[in-house]
Amino acid sequence: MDVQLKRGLLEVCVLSVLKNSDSYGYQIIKDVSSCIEISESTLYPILKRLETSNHLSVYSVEHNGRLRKYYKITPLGEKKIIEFIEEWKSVMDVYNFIKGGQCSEQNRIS
Amino acid sequence: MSTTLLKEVNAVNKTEFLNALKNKISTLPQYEIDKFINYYSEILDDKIEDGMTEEEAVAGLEDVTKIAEKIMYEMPLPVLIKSRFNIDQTVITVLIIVFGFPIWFPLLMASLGILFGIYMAILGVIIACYAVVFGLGVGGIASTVASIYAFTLSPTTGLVALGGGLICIALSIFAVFPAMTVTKAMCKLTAWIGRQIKSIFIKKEKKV
Repeated sequence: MDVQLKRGLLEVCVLSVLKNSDSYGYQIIKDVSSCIEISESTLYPILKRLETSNHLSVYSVEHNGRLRKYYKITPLGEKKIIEFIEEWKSVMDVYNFIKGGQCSEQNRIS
Repeated sequence: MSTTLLKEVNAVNKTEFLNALKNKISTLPQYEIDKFINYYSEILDDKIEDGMTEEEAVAGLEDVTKIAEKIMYEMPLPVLIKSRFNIDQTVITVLIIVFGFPIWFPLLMASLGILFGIYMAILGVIIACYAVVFGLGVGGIASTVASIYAFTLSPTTGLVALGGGLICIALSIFAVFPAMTVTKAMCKLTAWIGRQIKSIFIKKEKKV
């Protein structure tokens, strides 16, 4: 898969995991991995980027005598998921067109 | 049998992994190093809590060299430059910078000039492409409109103006796609140049 495309998809995957509940690094990797491959070194810059762009916030919780970083989705992050789903409706239309179906006029990409 | 033996030889525990990582990114500012060490330390602890042994947890990660390389490529350029030259570490470096000024300053200016030139050239190509599209479009529309007046002079002139105008508009619409392709290619080229410049400041691992 194209690197840029995968990076964009992973960002939304991480946000959608956080939409269910706040989570931490290892758990996010486990959850996202069920759908798309993600390594620890890939997750780090994604979390950092999402934090800088205010799509998620970070807080620490003490767990078994050590600190664990938890990530929480922001309203902006939730908006990004909705936008992604809207945008991909038209991408799916193109996908169907490529596969040999018809392209419905109202979703046509301009 | 031999593979299990090999695995045991290569088995690395958490502390060894974190130390190796620390060494490989040691040129970065301390706060960046701490952030990465905390991140990997937390993940390893969580993996161990999940039932893995320390060695299994580390083995599940990517190779430490690869991780370090990825970290360096994600760093912003100014941080890399600072880490590559360790500017505030030795007096000698400062002396070289001060006394080498007549040499490095023109060189720096020259490289910046070249870089600026390349970017302007790329920008120029993109602008030129859209100028063609725009020019054809405007010319086409103008000619089409003017044809109304031309018809009053003579039908032949009017027809030529109208035909020419419509052809220009059509060409302008068709030229949008190549222009977009060129723009995309130019953006990729820019990204590639940026990556090449970054790679100058990242220490290459010696191939074993």
